Amino acid sequence: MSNIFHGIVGPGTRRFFVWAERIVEPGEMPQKRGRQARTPLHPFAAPTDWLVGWVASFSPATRATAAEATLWLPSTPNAPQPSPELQAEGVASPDESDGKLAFKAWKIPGVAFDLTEALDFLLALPSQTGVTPGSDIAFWRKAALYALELAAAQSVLPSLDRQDGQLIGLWKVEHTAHFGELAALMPPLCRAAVDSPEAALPPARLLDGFVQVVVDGLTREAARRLTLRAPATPGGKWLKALTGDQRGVALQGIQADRLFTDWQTWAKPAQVAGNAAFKITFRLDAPGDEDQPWHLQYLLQARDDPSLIVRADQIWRGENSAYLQERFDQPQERLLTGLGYAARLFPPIEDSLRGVAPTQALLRSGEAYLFLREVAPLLQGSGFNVLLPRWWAGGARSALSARAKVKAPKTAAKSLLTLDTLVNYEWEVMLGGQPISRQEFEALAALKQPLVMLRGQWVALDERQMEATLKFFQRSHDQIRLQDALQMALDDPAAQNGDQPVVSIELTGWLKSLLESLRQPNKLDLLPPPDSLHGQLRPYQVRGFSWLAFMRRFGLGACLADDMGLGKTVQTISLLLHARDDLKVKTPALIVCPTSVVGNWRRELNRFAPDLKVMAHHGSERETGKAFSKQIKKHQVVVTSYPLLARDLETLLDVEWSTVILDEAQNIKNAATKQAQAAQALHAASRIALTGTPVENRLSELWSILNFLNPGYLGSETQFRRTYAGPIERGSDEQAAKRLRHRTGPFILRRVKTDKSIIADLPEKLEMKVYCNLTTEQGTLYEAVVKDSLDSIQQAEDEGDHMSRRGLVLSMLLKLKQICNHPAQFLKDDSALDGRSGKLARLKEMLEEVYAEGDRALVFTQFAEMGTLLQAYLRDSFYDEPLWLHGATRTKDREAMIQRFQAMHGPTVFLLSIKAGGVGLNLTRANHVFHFDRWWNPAVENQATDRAFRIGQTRNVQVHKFICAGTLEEKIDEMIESKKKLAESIVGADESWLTELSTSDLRTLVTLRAAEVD
Amino acid sequence: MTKRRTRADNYDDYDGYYPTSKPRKVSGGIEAKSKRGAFGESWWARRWIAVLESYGIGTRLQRGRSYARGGQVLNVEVEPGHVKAKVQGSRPRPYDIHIRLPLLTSAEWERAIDAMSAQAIFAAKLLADEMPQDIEQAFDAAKVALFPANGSDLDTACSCPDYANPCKHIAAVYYLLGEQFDADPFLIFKLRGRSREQIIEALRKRRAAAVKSEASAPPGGEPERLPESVPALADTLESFWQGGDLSALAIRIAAPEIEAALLRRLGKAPGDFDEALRQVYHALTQLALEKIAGE
Repeated sequence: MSNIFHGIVGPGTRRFFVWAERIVEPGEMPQKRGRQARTPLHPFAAPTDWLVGWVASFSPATRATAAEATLWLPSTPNAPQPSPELQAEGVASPDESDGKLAFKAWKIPGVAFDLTEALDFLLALPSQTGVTPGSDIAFWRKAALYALELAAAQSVLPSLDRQDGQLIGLWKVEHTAHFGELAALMPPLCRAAVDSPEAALPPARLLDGFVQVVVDGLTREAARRLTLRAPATPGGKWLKALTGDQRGVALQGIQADRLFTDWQTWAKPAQVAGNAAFKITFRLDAPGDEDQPWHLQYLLQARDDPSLIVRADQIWRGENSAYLQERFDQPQERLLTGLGYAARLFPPIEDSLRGVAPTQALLRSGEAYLFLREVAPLLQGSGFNVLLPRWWAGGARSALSARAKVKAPKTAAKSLLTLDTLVNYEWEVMLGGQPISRQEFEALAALKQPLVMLRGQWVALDERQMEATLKFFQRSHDQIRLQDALQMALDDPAAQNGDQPVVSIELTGWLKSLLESLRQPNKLDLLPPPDSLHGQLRPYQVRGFSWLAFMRRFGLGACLADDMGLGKTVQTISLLLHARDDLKVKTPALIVCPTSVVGNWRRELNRFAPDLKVMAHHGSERETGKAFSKQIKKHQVVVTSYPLLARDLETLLDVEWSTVILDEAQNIKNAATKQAQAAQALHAASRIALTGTPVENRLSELWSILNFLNPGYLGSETQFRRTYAGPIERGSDEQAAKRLRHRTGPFILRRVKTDKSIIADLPEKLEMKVYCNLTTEQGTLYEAVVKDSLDSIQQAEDEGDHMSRRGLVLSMLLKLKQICNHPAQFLKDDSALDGRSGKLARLKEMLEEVYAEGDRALVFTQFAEMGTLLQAYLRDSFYDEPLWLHGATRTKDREAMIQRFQAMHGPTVFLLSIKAGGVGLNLTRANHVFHFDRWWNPAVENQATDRAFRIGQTRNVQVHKFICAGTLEEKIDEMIESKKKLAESIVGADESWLTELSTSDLRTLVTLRAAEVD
Repeated sequence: MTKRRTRADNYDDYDGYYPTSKPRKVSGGIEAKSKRGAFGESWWARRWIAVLESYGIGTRLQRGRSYARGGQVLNVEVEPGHVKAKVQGSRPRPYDIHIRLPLLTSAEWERAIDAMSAQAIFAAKLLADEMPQDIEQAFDAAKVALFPANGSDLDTACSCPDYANPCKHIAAVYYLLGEQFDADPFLIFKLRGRSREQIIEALRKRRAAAVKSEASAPPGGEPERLPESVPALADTLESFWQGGDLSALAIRIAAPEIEAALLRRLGKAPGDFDEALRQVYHALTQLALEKIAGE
């Protein structure tokens, strides 16, 4: 379920008001009362408390306080129209029978904060689930980005204004062409916070107000970082008002007047380049040959239609004067003023003004180059429009390029190749896109002209680049690291800068096929699955395994990012077997995973590769130091957890690992953490990362993982944040996103379960056991209960009291199951939930993937109190409201929940008690079923599973059965599995059969294997 | 040069044989921007002040500058041929100052405007608040003197008791005028009898005539479209919730090619804190880049 949140400028011009539409439970809608307030309360606005908490959850610095606003919304006589985003959540639009739509005012609860905080708020907006932005928020977010664009470009002028006779200091924005374009995109909703619809401001006014306040705030924030000295002069007082918290300038009377006039005179040129309709434009036209002068034409260009151009001679003659006068009054004087200012920046313009009615300046090639290189950016910075020849795009730098032809080394032992291997290359120089010989190049360089004609085309030569290029020629044979060669080959050349020519690369021989394979993993040669693998690989798993082997061969770190449930584990195990059997690798492999799945890995390794010698480096009895080194000689695979990786790093550093595998690699997403640094430090011949989250969308995670896999490949974290992560995540920069995909794509293999080719390979129902480890707290409680209970049971047995023995057994089983679920369920103490239960940790991890994928899940538990705990926990973790259906749910609500879940954009998680929700429901929206705890009768579990797996289900369903490793849960599971038939006959609908076991059998059943506890 | 004396009975402002008295403190007077050294940044302001300095009135110049810098000048009004000002001296009542300059005749103006219209640069620079360097040559060629050649072109008067003329009060006003000319070159024209509008209009007419007499260039197309108007909120029932396609607008957050370009374009800001502004601009870019990077 998703609330739709909205934002609007108001109340006043310096506050930002945020509110949300929420989905109201049927029957929760307030009934129409006899007397209506003049402005009625919006019936489905989220309460202020929720908003305060929600804002604090991702933008804690925002000082949001309770507020109320009046908004005019399209409404029926009874209710406002829900936004289209809310309608997508399944909330019906009021139909015609409710009456015609008309604008009506609604009182809306919400939160408000200072408009200067809106930028941080809007940038911090998480792409998190559970809350969807309305079109207004999307708009303001874009407006915030525009404000940031202006700020970064320094398009802001220290200014003065008079308010109530008082002089105030403020920063005024100089808008760019983006302003008009953006204002045209504003949804009317943004204008709706008014006393009456007639009072609604035009978009440009609202946008300007927003941007002015935000940029003024940003500039003050920037100034606060500096130590500025403000003398007691009028100027100093103005500076203080510009950079301090008080905007008022402490000047009165004539002194204030004088500062104001001085400022007006000074700031006037800021308007000389044009107005909202037209801009003074300089167009540089290149001559047809080198002997002719260059023409710098003077024009006016319309802002909203670049094809609309008025030439200077038309202006001097007074053509279109009526049209122009209306939009660009006094065009002659404006143009003259503009030229007067431009003449200060570029003397040839001044010379051209010696005529009566100048229309252009004639330039020599050196002047043209100066114009292109230095004057044009200055003029643009001054607000003028500059039109330059197309070949200049990107400047002189892009004209020269060098291409390295890399020859594949003839080494036979390609398996020895690493990214550090040096490969040979030869340079080829291109100028303006054409290859050029050394003689030609030197002849051009000797001309010492910045603009030359090469085979009929103008080319700009950058002096420093020329020098660099001559050097390339001088060392025409060279060597580079394979990593750099690949990186260049995968890179977008346009992303480069600096004094070096743009460099591209051409690979030959097998390096070329390596590059092609990297780009198209689908075309890889497939390897046969290892003979020693117990189990079948599905076709896509063979591809994945072959890819891992391919990457390993070239020493490239690989990230396998298949969707949950597609079998990353078995593909990885296949690779380990391939390395051992075919590549005769002798050194051990290390698997690092979350604590909650150490047991799971051991069991999976045991299942698919029973002859691999696996050692779990886990639990309090683990070996370290020398003892570990000794032990490891007898093993081929070591499994450990992230916390222990950091804690026992010294021990793990002593080993040269053949492969290091990070499972749930998002655990190293924060590069500053100990575990991330530890992973980085490990000595490994090859590296693999496994993750089920869509890593390409979480950029800091992506960097961290790729930096583990291929250190240095994406540059430093700061570089990465500035070139990629920031622009993409906060600036929605499509170009940067494309470049990044290009660069990282070859190292990530991600298949999703909705791929057509994958669906065909998958069974409709995929059952998986999820082994979780107990936390220390759980282990301690568990053992205490076992000891106490067994003692009492023994005593009862000794006393021949069967009734009380039976009661004691059942009570022990109940307690143990509660502890396996969560200590808080057993202790009933309302304590905090995080970090105390292996199952809960695992459920959260897996649900993160469910959320990230936009999937839906049913979560079954047999305990109502656990369901309630889970509901609260998931609500806080995901900012979502999971449905919770249990014995006490009223029939009416039950129906509503089912409808909501089955809706197109319904809630992600549906919690059900197995008794209340196990039968009769049709919940085919779900494609994941979690059994948080086990019901000892498989038939009951299967029935519950079938809620999702019914007619109408169009996707594959994954069933995750949670089992606490080493506890009675696992033993009972083994019993059921090994004697399935028998079990079905002896296992009744409940657990009473367990009471018939002897005390010593019971002891075996419930005793905890210590190695499974953290 | 004549000096009209209004009150000769009191010598306390007299510079020479008697100790000088301190002027009364004034609040809200016009303080000169120049705080030391020469007055007037532009060549035309200096040209103006050179006339004053040609009188050889010694320490009165120095005192006039102090008056101008100290804010003793209360008011300055420029009218055609006549500058009126009030300066606070040591007496309670401020002194009245008059500076008179002969107006140019209509014939002189015609010749001057003809000369100016021959080159667009004159209009362009004037409109850009700058006096063209070679405008004097143009005026000379037209046999018109824009600036007073020496003291004999000026008629100055002050109500102070100092017998010398110009006195320090006149000097103070004169210096301040120089600064005003810095900001608005049209002020000299006004003093000589033509307003900014009159000159611009006259230049425009001459320009149009000149262009019309040239061979006509290819005609330009008449622009047709009119800007769209904003709909009233009440008319947005259907489109209320929908904005345009935001992804169509590509925002690029990057440092400018030239730091503090606005300062380069506008010149020194009033208030004398360009260095601080430069720092703020730089910090602003850094802050914006950090914000977008999420740092």
